[in-house]
Amino acid sequence: MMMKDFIPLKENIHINLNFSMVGKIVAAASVILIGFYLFGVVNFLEHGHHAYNTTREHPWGFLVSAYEFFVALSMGTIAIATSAIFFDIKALKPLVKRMLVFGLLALIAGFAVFLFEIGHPITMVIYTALSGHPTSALFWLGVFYPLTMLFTAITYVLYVKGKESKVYSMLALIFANSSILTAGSIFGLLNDNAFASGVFYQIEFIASGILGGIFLFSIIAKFFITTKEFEKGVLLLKGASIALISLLLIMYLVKFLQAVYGDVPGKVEIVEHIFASPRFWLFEILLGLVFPLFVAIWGSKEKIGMFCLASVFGLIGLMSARINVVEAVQIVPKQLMKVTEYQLPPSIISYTPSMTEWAIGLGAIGIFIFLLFIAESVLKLDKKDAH
Amino acid sequence: MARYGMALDYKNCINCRACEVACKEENGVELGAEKHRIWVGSNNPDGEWPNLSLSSAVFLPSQCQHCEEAPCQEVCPTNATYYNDDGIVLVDSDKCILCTYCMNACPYDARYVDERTMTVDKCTFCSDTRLARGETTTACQATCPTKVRTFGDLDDPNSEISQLLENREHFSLKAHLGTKPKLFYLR
Amino acid sequence: MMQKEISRRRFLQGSVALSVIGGSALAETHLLPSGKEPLSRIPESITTKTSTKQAQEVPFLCGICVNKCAGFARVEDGIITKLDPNPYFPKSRNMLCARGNAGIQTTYDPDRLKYPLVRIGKRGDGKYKRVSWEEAYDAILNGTRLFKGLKEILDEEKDNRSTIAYCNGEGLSKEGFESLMGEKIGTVNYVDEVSICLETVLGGYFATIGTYGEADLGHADYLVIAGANRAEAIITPDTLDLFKRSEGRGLKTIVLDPRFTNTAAKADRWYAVNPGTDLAFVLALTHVVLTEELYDKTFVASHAVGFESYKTHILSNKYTPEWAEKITNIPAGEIVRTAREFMAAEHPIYYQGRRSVFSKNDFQLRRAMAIFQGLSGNLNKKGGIIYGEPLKLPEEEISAPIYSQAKDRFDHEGVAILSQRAGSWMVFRDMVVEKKSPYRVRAMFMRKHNPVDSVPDTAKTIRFLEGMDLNVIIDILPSDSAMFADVILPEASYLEKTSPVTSYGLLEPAIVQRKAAIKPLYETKVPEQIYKELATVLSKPLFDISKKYDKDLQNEIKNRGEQAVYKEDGYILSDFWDKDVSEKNKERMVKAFGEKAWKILEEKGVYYPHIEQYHTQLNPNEYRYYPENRKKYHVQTDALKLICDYKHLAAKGVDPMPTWKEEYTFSVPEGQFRLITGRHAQFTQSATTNNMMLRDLIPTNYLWVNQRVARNRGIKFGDMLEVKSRAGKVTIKAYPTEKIAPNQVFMAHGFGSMNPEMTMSYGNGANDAILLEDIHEPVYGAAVMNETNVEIRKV
Repeated sequence: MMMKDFIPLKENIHINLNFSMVGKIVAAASVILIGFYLFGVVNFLEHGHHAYNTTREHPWGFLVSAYEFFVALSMGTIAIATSAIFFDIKALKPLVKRMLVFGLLALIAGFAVFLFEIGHPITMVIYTALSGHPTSALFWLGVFYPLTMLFTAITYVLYVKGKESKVYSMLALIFANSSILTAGSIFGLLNDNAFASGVFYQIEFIASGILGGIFLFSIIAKFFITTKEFEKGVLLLKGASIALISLLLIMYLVKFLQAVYGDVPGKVEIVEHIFASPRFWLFEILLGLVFPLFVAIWGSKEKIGMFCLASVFGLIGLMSARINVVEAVQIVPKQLMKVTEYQLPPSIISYTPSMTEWAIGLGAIGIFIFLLFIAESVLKLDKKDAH
Repeated sequence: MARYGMALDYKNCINCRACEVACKEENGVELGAEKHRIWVGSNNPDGEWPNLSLSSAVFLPSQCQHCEEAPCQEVCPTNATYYNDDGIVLVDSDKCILCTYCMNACPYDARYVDERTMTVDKCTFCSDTRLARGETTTACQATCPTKVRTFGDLDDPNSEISQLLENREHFSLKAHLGTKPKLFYLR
Repeated sequence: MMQKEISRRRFLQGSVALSVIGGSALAETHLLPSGKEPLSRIPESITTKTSTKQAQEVPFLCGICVNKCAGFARVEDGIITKLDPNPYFPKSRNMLCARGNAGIQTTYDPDRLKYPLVRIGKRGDGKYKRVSWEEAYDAILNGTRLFKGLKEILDEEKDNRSTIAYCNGEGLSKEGFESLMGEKIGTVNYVDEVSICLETVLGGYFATIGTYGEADLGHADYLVIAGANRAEAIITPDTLDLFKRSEGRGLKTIVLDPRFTNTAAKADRWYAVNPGTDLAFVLALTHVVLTEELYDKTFVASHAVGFESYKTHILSNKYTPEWAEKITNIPAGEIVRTAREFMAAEHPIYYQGRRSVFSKNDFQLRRAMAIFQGLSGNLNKKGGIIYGEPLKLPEEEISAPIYSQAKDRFDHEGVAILSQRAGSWMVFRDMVVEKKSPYRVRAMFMRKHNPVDSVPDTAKTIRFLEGMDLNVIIDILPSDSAMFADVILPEASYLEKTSPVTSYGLLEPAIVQRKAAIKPLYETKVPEQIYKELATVLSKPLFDISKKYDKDLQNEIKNRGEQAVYKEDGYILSDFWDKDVSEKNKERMVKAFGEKAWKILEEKGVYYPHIEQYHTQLNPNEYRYYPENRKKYHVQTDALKLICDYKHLAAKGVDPMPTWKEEYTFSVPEGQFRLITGRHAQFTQSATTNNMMLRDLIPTNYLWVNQRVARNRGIKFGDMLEVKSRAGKVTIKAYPTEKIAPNQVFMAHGFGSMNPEMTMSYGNGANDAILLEDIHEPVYGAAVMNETNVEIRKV
């Protein structure tokens, strides 16, 4: 049997390096980012976790944020693509193959971060299998990711072969949503954490993950493959994004209101901290949500250009949101007393990512773009490749 | 099989931190201020000099609570954190993947990363040192100048700790979380 | 990644540990005399986890501070892996503090003095040559190209042995060093550490109630504790008894301290007394008690001397609470309340305290405190100041030569009652530096003492040392004082040596013995061996010098012959150490208490009569040492008296009764701060700041500045401050806090080493001795620590 029987490679693989202007910029950026990533990895190999600014009080850093970003993006993208098949949404079909593949690649980019976030990845694989712990959200991620990947891959291979499998697309959709729900649960199930515990993060992750998929879809449609027929799909998703962004904004409002109402300790400090952060207002709210919402509602009904631009900001906003959530669940110290005479009383725990953390986390974006480029070059992704 | 716990007569504590050093020396805990299995909490007294509130100046020795419903154990994906036969919460460093989920899940800040093994470390109630040699006290209890701690079997009604808990009022930290801590602070 | 996975093993030694220890291979090569089983090794990591294997448990006596707690050292394959408390010792009662636990790190400190060193550069530049012990002794005797030896110095000084001065830190081998330098070599110029410590406390109490005694805090019900920080300056059993019973559990505790200490945090009431004004507080308490006639009349009638004149003195001087309020910052009502409560209590104690001298009136303060205690009648009884009965060990006999050329002490300028034995560090130093001494002092021998950091005015101490022809230091770590030594002799740490047996305690007395847990590491030696070897080298050559100048000796030789005089009159300086410490210990123990007692002592580290019957465990934490009816709460003693009016003092120019003087009033010029010093429970002066374990607990010292003052001056936590006094200046991090008054600042003593060889403590924090001015109190010439004003500036 040939590899081609399983992986739908193009008949004539041709790596086209004649980029458009935008393409050149993106290519240059991704090369720089990959260089950045390698710098981070070398630093990590040299110094281990000392290269990170994580501490006893703030063990999760930017890498967790970056990883969560890619995972949510991945699962959201897969959810949209598999929905297109399962619910037979014609407008989205032209991009389905691409979205299935890109969803998987986003997950791989996430793993490229996770590999250096987790202390012992090999041990993880071995002992998740040998002594997995079902009460752990992290364990279920280890179950759901492979299943999502498997069914997404099958869906894609069958789709390339002209078969729209309801069963596999449904399984992929279910496990993608399970994954993202579980990722949100990692925060939502921190029972002692007054701010994180509850249903907020699970739902926020699903909504923002799918929103991320929409943004990615729009960007690909506009900047990579400028074909007229994709625009219909974008316009459809634009409508969906109004609902999702509105939902997110309402959730934020309710969450923050609930936290400041009565100045509940363990919550109100976090809201105060978040509100004092320009990153939250500028990136997460204004650029990430309000601007896309504005464009989606009042922008051109025919042209997708503006919304696609807004999608770029949307993704930046989502990355910012992931940074904010990881920070928000950790900034209130668990140790409220001093443990040595010469220290300030514990207040908000501050954390700034180290250069290595920035390098690996942001560098993975370069890896993601590079993977997209390779996929474009070698895989059957367009309509002409199908059937 | 026992159910080990610890009672702390915390009003005796003078914040000398003998317990912290005894713990480090006994158990080979990594050097470094952040690398402590046990600690003494203190706070700045309320008020302005010379009118400072004496009752607000408290010393609260603490460590892993060895919860019966330990959140750290619940979130551990590989079962690296486990309960031994005596109900002591331990970390099997061979299984630990350093996801640090437990550090975020623990309500008591009782865990830290041992950078020699790059795994999560915590109080063991001296189970692999003193208890393994047949001793009946932990290092922190034995060394304490004012004898804050009493370690023992909660299932044995005749143990000193059972007697103390029967006769003295006590409280646990963050009991509302339902973690069922086995550290008891005597009033 | 793979490598990480493979190397991940539980309790793998850290890279930090490796780099710090560095030379473990080196350490093993030279440790052992040929062919012998290794008896000591250096651990590979700093903290060594104890194993489940069989281990030796060697009884030791802690030497990390002055208190002397007993413990057992766990030794596994020649490595001390843990120090555990010894439950047999009634004084320390089954405990070790943070420092006691960290004592292992003193022994394994990579910066330790490992070999004898002789100076080959300029003083202070740190250039030394590693030499053999023989070469080091030879350098002391004969000098080198760079410095003169004892022989030349003594020859030039015509055998005036007092040209040699010496000092010694507290410890069990201190007396041996005094014997070597004072009795054998024959100088009078000993500057004892008590004159920078608690000399006035002991003096004041002995002069007033005939003892310093022991405060029975286990049974007292009311305690006034002033300027004694028992939560942070741990003294046993006081600390143990006090804090188990404070906070409404039987012992009402009133704390006086300018600073809100950890002791204050445990008190029922805290009075932020102005520094140096406790005396006014005690005088006012006394005033209340005398005017309201609250004192124990029976006791006073039978034991007090000069009570009526004291009463007249207090009343006529109008030492009223209102008067004291202005001086002390303690409200008059509170003073009245405290006086009444004290006398109404069944077992009240005004805690004697033990600490260095804070103010010039300290001797009189102690007298006033002792008299006030006496007025309650709570002396020599349960819950009071215990006179007790120590266990006695046979005295050691020493054959001391008489040197007729040796001249007398001279350090009594401005000192009323100079202790002939102890002298005054500060007055002695100042007179030498200012060339006021009647003869030249040319050699300084220092043992386990770091005067550069501990005697106020570091610059002056350095000038003193630089003026010497010969400086010799015997120590464990390269202290700042060692930087000025010509010959450095490395001593074994307390875990590596067996020390002379000692007796402790009055209420529950016991004999304790420190046994070596391991053989001395590197080329270090136990002090008694150093004394003996040095004495052996010095004996004949120094005798020859005496022969040349000492007329009395010449006559003796004429009469009895040189050999006889040399042997019989103690000129063989080493004869005091003919037997080693263990042998002597056994001899003395067997003589006093019998063979069996010696066996118990060897095994348990502690002995007292009937220990086997008396000693029982009460619960997992507590033991009984003596049955209640065997405790020496009350004894028949002639010492029990209450000297209110000490007329003899007047002849020496000292007030016969405690008197307040205008000059004692606390005042700080505008813009300045009174510098107060003190400590925390996690280090012992400058001796432990290089201890890696303790550095985790208190990494450096900070300057406490009142929070409101700091806010006004824009000073935040951790900001660098320049602190300047008339004596010198330092930089130190700021610690804004409400635990100190707006016109005072505090820094913990002992930090800021100048010696780069101390890799952990070099340049870390600030040294208060640089700032403290050379002020001494007038009775004994003891150094005064809290009378220096400073200016602070953010840098």
